[in-house]
Amino acid sequence: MHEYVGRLADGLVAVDDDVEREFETRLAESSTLAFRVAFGVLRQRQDAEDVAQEAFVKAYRCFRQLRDRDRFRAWLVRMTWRLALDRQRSNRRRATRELEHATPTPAANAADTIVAQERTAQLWQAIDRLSDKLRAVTILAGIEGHDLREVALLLNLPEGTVKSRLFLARRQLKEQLQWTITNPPRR
Amino acid sequence: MDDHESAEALTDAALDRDLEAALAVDPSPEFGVRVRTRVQSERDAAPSPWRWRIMAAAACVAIIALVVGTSRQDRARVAREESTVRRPATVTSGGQDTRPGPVAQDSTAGQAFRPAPTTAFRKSTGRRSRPRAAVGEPELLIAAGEARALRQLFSNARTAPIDLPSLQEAAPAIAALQPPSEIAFPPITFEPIGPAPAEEGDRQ
Repeated sequence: MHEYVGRLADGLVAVDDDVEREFETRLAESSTLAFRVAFGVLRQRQDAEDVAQEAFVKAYRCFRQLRDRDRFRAWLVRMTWRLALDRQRSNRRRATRELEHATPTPAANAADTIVAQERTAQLWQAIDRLSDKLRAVTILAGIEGHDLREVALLLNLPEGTVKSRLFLARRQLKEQLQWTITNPPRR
Repeated sequence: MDDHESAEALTDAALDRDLEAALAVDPSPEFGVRVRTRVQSERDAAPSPWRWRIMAAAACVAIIALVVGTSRQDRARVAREESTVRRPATVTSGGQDTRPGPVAQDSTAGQAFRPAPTTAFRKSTGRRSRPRAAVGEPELLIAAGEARALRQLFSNARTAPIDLPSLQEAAPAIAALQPPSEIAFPPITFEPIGPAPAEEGDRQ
């Protein structure tokens, strides 16, 4: 009896170790993806790392309950996305509170005058104006060159939906960027 | 900003290129280490669910084994006690009673050679109740030959009337016995109870 229980325990512990190893592998594969998804929303390196870390801890807690392990990346992306949106909202609330009490600062430093940074900033502003649905497909399509099928898998959406959303997002981005080019912000 | 010089220049390809460039940000080298450390601390804080399950199952098995073992011991003890109570009531086969104790010679009832109807043989309702007769009532012990004789006597008395003349013939010694003479009872006299003379009048 004791021997049988011991063997059973060894077997279960071995299963446990397999799960741990599998999670380690998934973590190594997906850490950059989670970070970039969070960065796409927050655009703060430290915040993005915190959110990605939190997403991994949540994923670890629930990893054993995940039936289809091949869908880990999609699961992680959705989790990271939601966490990043939550963080963004709380950041905005905090920023608003701080702005109310802050003293005026110079609008920009010398680095902001660099053309590439300005372009990137304009792009992010345009992305921020997109709805959440359009923003998600735009960012995921921009990360690591994901194609339509991969974005559809990550968001658990039909490819046609992703295609139409991406089309709409590009059109809105182009319109906004065009408007920015023709009406550059005054400094 | 060359791509953005005109509306025609802002193509999908250019937009995708800009997007990829904006999102091509790598986490810091410490990020992976931090995540692993955090996951490890999570792992240490929450023990494996399998281990919990194994421990719970082992505890259940131990409790069941304890309960079963205890009930078996109880049953064995009760059976042992019942057998020790029954054994003295049985008659020894050799005609000699090896156990000490009173010999029942009451011929008025056929219960003499039967075990006394004690509570020992009743099924106790409580699990741990002990047979009370073993301590409370005397044991009835009877020799095998006497028991046989008594049994035969009762069965004969039930089936046929006792033939006294034949008995007298069979046992002349009994018949030869003379009936006892008249018993003379001395008359009862009552002596008055009085104080002893030596003790009275000694007051001063």
